[in-house]
Amino acid sequence: MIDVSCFVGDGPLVRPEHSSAAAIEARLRQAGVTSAGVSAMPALFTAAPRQANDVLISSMVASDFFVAVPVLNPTDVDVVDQLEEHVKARRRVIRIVPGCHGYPATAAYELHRACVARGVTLVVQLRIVDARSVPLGLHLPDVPVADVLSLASSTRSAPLVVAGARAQEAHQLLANGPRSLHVDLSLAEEPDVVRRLIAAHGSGRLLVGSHAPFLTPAAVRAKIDAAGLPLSVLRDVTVDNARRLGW
Amino acid sequence: MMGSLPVPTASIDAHAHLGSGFQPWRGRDLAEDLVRTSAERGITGTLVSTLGAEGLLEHPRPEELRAANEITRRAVERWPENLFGLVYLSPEHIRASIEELQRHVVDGPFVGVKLWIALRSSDRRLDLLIERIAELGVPVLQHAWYKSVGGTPGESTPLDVAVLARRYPEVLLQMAHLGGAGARGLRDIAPHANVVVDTSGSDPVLGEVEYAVQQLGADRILFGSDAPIRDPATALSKVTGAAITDEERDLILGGNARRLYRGLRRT
Repeated sequence: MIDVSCFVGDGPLVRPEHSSAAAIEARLRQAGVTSAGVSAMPALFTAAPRQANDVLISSMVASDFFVAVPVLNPTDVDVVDQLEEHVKARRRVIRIVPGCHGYPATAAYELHRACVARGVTLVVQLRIVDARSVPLGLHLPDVPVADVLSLASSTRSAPLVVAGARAQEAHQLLANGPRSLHVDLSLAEEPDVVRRLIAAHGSGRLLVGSHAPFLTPAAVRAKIDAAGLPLSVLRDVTVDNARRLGW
Repeated sequence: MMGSLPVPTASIDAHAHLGSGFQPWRGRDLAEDLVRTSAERGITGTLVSTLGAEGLLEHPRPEELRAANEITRRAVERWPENLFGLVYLSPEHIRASIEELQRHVVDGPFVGVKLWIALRSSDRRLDLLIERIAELGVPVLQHAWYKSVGGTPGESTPLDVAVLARRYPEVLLQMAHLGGAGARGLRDIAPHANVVVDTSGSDPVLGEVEYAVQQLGADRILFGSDAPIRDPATALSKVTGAAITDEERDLILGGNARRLYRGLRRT
């Protein structure tokens, strides 16, 4: 099972004992994850994430489990140059976090087009935690679905992955977005969530995201197990869709 | 290809709901969907309450309380081995609530009480109702949350629950939503041995159940899903994915609920 969305490193919402690479890898392996796309936790909490990306990437060089997913800020004047550096280093997936960094998802039109031209998959993080539980003083607004649909529709053939959608948002995104729009299962929750998403939208645009260490990786595994999927469909959701998109 | 992970057996879900505020997800019958979905995850008993026959009612009138509890009663009668009723009461309507207690707990099969967000649990207007509940010796499932946005005036925090617990140490309070309590909420209730917490509330946050075990002990934690607002399988992963001992897990997944709710001992 490939996890397309997890984080490593310290941050204000996760206890340090849960956020090291070793701790997260152990939890993910326990849940049946065989490789994981990982972003730097500190990159979520600074609008200048470059240094956090560099630290993550250097620490992941020897890993046969983690694949680094850099966090970019599309409002940086040199963001396309940064993207180019990652492409040269054979990184095929990047992430943006509009809610954390304080810009609208629609600010990423140019970056999205640049990703298309370079065969890079763009991950848009819709939220990282339940807004009701965000400590006062930490501003982490959810990203409006309409903004993401607008971004996805601007370059309809380009792969775009939405991480952290709630179940109803996932239905809305898959129903109204282009075929190139995918969602991860990390924060989507309702009874039979995987079965219902597949029944409504097919299995080709769903991805496993653990959202560790914010969430227990056992959760996404439980959603998959509860669905009782036929093998071919299970393989789509847990492996093949992720590989096709660059993980 | 990966196989399914083992599913615990004979678990008790101490927090779930019925009523027209929710849609069935497999067939036409919400209670049947809940029973079947839970059974697939090894959940053999579920504590259910209905917060309104027409949607979720924050301030139900007496007739609305009666209609809501009728939904629970019909489901419990249909699934007596799987569903266990909590009677929905409102301290804004003491007389009607005491009548509902009589109807469903004294004269009926319900095993406890559900209080939601009509009034904070620290409000003195609860007193008459709580005194009657104390006489009956049944637990109270009380909603609580520390919200940074979106709270309502009558919504209890864990501190409100602690105030009630201190005033009525003989009443067992099941504080809902470990996921909404946070470390601060656990600190509030920790000194009060008559308060237990259920694991429902928000997302399956890593480390949350382990922390609660450290702060309260496993014998004060009950598995609760809050289905169908949340998914029983995902909710269960909070406990199955926690780094705790098998003995602690067994207590949380059913042992505590069977000890604290008399009607569940036969499950």
